[in-house]
Amino acid sequence: MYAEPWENNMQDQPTDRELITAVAHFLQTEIASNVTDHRLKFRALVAANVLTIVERELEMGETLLRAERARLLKLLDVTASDDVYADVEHMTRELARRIRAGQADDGPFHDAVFAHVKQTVIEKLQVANPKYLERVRQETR
Amino acid sequence: MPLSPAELQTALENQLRALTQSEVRVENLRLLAGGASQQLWSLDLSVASGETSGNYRLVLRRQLGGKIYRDALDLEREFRVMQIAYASDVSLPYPQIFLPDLLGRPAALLHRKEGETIGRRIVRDATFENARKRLPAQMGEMLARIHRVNVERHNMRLFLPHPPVEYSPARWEIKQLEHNLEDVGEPHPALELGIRWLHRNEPPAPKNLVWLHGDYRIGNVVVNQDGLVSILDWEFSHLGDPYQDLSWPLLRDWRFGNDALQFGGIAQPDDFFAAYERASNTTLDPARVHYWIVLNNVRWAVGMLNQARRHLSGEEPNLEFASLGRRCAELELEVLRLIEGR
Repeated sequence: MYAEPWENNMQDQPTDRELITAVAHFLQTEIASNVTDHRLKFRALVAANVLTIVERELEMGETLLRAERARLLKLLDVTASDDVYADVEHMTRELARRIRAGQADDGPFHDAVFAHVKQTVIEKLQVANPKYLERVRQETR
Repeated sequence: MPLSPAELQTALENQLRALTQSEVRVENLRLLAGGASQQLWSLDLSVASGETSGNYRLVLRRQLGGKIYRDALDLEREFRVMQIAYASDVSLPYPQIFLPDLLGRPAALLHRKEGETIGRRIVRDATFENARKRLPAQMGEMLARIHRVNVERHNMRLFLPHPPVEYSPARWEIKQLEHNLEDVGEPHPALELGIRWLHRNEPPAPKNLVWLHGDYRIGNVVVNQDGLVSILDWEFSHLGDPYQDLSWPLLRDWRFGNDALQFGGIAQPDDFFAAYERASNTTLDPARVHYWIVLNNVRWAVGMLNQARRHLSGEEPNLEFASLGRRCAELELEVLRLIEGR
């Protein structure tokens, strides 16, 4: 676990994630449930929710980014550089460009692109809103 | 922009005194909602004498700048649109007066309608059980009323956004979404797939462009126990394809968590469509409804990205806007589900 980039510097406890959890809890229990102004209450809940996104991103972000890169390299048939983030950004731009140019309209490339894009959106939601993802997945259309 | 209620009250009383040629009193002034782009105040006004003498329960809207979509109406044009709607028997708060310069900003006074606007409450609270039964048909009938307003007679082309003659409304919307995505600068392959699908399934243009509300849904209507009281938020009014308004209230994001009920989380859309069909003497095409649901989901996804940029650019620092940047993925999944295999 010490190989993770965000844990390279040894800091005292609590960890980054534990601090975020503490602030999210504070916002939910001590702020949101005690303020009477409902607009302020709503914003406190938004803030708490944003922190849970950051928590999940710290936990899964790196793994998901690497998986996304692996899929993109295969899909677009390119070789990796030593910068995972830059790779994903460049390839996603290229993918968006090709879709818009009509190069992914039909056939096996369309299917591969669609599968990759859907998987990527699902992974974004695992970070941004796993409850929503679960709700939509359980729905039978 | 700090502005004290006392300062606003004095400015308002001075303007209204001059306009009514009467002694006036503004009371109970309080801020209902306020951001960097717009403020909404509640107030009571009494006019002592003259033609307009009486007591008024009002809201004051004050425009400060900043827009979600490039072609959103400014307050002056929105006020004009509300006047036309009012004259066309659409239920909405009476637009009392437009003030071009109230402490340096345009403002409008509208009558205050009592009722609920918060979507979650309309969808869940027991108080609105009866309202939930009636709302779909009421909203369908009311939408038909808006759509049959004579665009030419009111010269609406002169001040409302509309597609240029060589574009169908759908193609015009797609074009704008493409430009808008380029401005955002972040690649969104899921939205690009949606846009390609929209290009390849473009419906023929409607016979006539109609006047659209542009944001017709639960959340933008005032509701009481009997159902619909009035229609709010006319700033996205434009001319286009009626199916754009007809499909907008069906979007998953406007179901307030009650996803199984497609019309605003309160009902299936049957009553809404039937009432519209009856009132407008047309038959709706489900394929077109589906097409515009896809388009509207892409549009709202891009709207979320725009809101996040308003925060990121420093134009309007706002946590809620920032969080919309991460909500875009919800709409992306919806778009993909809607077009998959079609």
